[in-house]
Amino acid sequence: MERHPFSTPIGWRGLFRIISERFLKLRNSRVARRALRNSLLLTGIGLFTFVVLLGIFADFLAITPYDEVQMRHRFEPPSAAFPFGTDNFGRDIFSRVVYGARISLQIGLSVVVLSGISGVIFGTLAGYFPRLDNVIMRVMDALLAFPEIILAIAIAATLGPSTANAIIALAVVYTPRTARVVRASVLVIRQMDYVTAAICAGATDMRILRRHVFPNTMAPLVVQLTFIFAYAVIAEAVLSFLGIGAVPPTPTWGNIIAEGRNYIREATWISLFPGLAIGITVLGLNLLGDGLRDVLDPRMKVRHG
Amino acid sequence: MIAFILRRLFAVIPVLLLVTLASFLLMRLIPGDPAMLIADISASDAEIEKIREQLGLNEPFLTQLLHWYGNLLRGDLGESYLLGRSVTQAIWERLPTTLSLTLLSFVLSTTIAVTLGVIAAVKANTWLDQFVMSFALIGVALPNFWMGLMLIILFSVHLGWLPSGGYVPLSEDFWGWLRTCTLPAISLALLQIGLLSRITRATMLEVLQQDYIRTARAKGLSKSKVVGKHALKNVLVPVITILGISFSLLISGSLVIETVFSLPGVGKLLGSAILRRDYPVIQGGLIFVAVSMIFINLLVDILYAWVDPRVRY
Amino acid sequence: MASPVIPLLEVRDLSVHFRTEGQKVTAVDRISFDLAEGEVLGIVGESGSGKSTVALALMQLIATPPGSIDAERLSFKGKDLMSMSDREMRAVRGNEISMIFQEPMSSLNPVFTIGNQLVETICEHEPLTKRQAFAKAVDLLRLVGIPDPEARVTDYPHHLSGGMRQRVMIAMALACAPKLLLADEPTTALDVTIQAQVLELLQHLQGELDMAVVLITHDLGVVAEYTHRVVVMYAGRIVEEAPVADLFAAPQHPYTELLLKSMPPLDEDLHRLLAIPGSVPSPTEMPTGCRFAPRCPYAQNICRETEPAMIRESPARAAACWRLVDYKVPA
Repeated sequence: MERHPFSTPIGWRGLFRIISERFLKLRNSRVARRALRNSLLLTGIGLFTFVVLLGIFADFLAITPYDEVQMRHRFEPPSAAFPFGTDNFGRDIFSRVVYGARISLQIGLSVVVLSGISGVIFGTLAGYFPRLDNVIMRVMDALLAFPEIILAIAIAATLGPSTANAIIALAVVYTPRTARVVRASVLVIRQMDYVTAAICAGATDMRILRRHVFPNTMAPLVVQLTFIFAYAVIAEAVLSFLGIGAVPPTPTWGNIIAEGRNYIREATWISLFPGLAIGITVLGLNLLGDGLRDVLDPRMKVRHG
Repeated sequence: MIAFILRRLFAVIPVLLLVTLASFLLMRLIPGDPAMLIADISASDAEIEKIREQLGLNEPFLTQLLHWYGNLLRGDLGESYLLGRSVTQAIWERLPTTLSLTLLSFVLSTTIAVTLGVIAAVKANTWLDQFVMSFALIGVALPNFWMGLMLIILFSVHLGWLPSGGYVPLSEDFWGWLRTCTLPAISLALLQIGLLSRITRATMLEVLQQDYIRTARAKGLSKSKVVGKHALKNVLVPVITILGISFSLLISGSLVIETVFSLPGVGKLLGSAILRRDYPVIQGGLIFVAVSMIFINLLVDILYAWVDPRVRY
Repeated sequence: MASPVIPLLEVRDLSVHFRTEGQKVTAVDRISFDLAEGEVLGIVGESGSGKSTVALALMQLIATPPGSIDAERLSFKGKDLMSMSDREMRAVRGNEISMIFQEPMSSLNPVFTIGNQLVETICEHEPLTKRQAFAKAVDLLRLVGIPDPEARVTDYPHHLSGGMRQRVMIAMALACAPKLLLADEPTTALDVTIQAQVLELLQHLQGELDMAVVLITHDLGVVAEYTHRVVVMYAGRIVEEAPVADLFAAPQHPYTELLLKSMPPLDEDLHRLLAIPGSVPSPTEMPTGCRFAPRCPYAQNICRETEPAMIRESPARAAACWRLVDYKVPA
């Protein structure tokens, strides 16, 4: 998390340079300029950065430890001392939501990294080696036949409740999505003249993949991974809500909502704030994904107001 | 058309095999011994061994698999550990609740989403468009179980308009059913409305640029007829293709929403099974949902071919 | 036209602007022309000259915004089209003025049968029952030379070839016996052999129904064959107007002259063919002075500085070129 480029204060322009040059291998100032004009993208980055900062600086922001039980302060409504109120154990909801940001983002990022890596591996194998294509894609199709959340729930329920198992379940569920995106770009790139030229020049498969194929699959993959991050944040909340995600007292937005559910009539604030936090994160990520898609590939653009 | 349907049915078979195989394998991942889960804590080794024998766990893997497929073909999804009945029966009893909830939500979300999307496209780049699209973005971002809780607070606790839970079967009392199902259906529908209205808007904007829309206007048709007839049908064609995804999301959503609103449906069944580690029910529910999805997608394909005259079957 | 009666269509100083990304672009700039009943007028020009925009403006089918239409007068049968309400204009469209488009492949709605689309037009403007309208639709398809119209009427557009679809478009346009037909490059998208068939059909129906036609094309061969009078457009302006025989015999504007020279003659080798150097200026970068000056072999200093007005030699003949001024009115 610490080395995530969003965490250093480098300003908007620097941020875009990093995204466009290092992340996406695009040294194209037109893309950067389009990005700066795209207000959706800017809003998305703003919202998401806000949540990321909450997660990073959770230790400073949460004055009361997230697991400190204060029986004198049970069910206190939002006040100056407890901005988001307290729960049935008198724990500070604000602290729990802020720490929840860290856990939820860590889970989201792990899912993105895992499904990204496995998607690249399976997608490249399927796209680059026609003999493997059928086998890999049929298995992916079978996974896609399950509704995502239900499959994640079944896997997580089978493996047993824990943060790691939730991550594994979600990564398995989203791998077909990334694999499809990677495979589609690899299929296109494989037909390009410069790849044919490289093959003729005697380049090895590994070299062609590394030099020509991977850099060009990055843009659509990053867009897809942004959306997967958003889905993963919601899906993790669902798993925690059903009691098969991270185990209490570890606070995740999902299990704070689940714990607050029993007191929803008397202490609505317990469930209210983590839900809003999920909303802000997912909204930010969706806007970021839409914006990146507009900027990186205007032809894929879904027109907005 | 018959040949087309048969061909599609045939293509479904390998997917069905893979999906059921995946469900079977998933249950082999359960840490520990299933027999231990069923047996009493006080059970002796011999008793556990007897349960293993009954479950066929001592058979070779392939025999177990074939035996399992044999049962599946007869519609036998195994026995629930805890409910004292077969999984098939448990699902069957709860199916009407889930079906009526998802259908109500489906009708609600589709009509609202298409209407909103069309309005946003026709009024593109006005405040109305921006309002509708902001609503759509927020609808997609908020988790539906949380929306359900907030709707309960607003409509049941504060306003007292609708009950916060419970269920009246549709066959008994239509109005009672509608009262108990409205809040869950709306919670489920919000995500759909968000997704579908954005897609409808984008498609409508594209369709409105087409030459045949200009032709329709040149014929002297009113704007409402141009949009409501000529454009709308062309918008519905691509929208139909994502109805399969819609249903998939509604079914996934119903799992959590039924838990939130205590509706006695398949989702609630699965939710409790997860909490109580009733693995046969989890497995059966998984298979049931996946197989339903495969057939819903098949139905969507057929519907698509029927609506779009250009599709050759 | 020196006609004592009111012309069918009267266009005075029609301009069409589009506003895109803060820029105002003029697609059609102060053009004027008349059209008599039963007359066939050709509008010729390269792509980007604004000729299709003229037709859409006459139909009031320019989307506003981003477009806007200005005209001193735009009257049809003495009625002002500009001041008509939406409802009044709809009664004109498809009824008294019809239009056919360049792309028959995409101009018919793919998800409705051609019968449905024909019946819809008829019922919009005439008080007929569905059954009567359906019978009329079959008659119309027969009129435009579609074989086996009873069977074709239940077909979807994708069942038909491009030429057949354009015939359906013509049938739809003629459904209510319009006084004026706007044909925007009706044959450009079709095979050469089909082009002639469709144009012959249009000519035949024009005579039979005694309607006026505005035939928009970039093909001077089509103009020579099928029109009575021609308006030549360049970069949003009319540069020359003449009866068709006069235009081909003695073009007055250099642009017309070059257009004629670039026509492939039937009896000579193609290597003599002359192309006009350069291209139509983009509407955002209009030259000052005569718009054709940058490509004109005769351009003088005055051409690059001041735009020439239309010089009317006779009621039917006019052109906008400084060379005419020099000849007629020596400065």
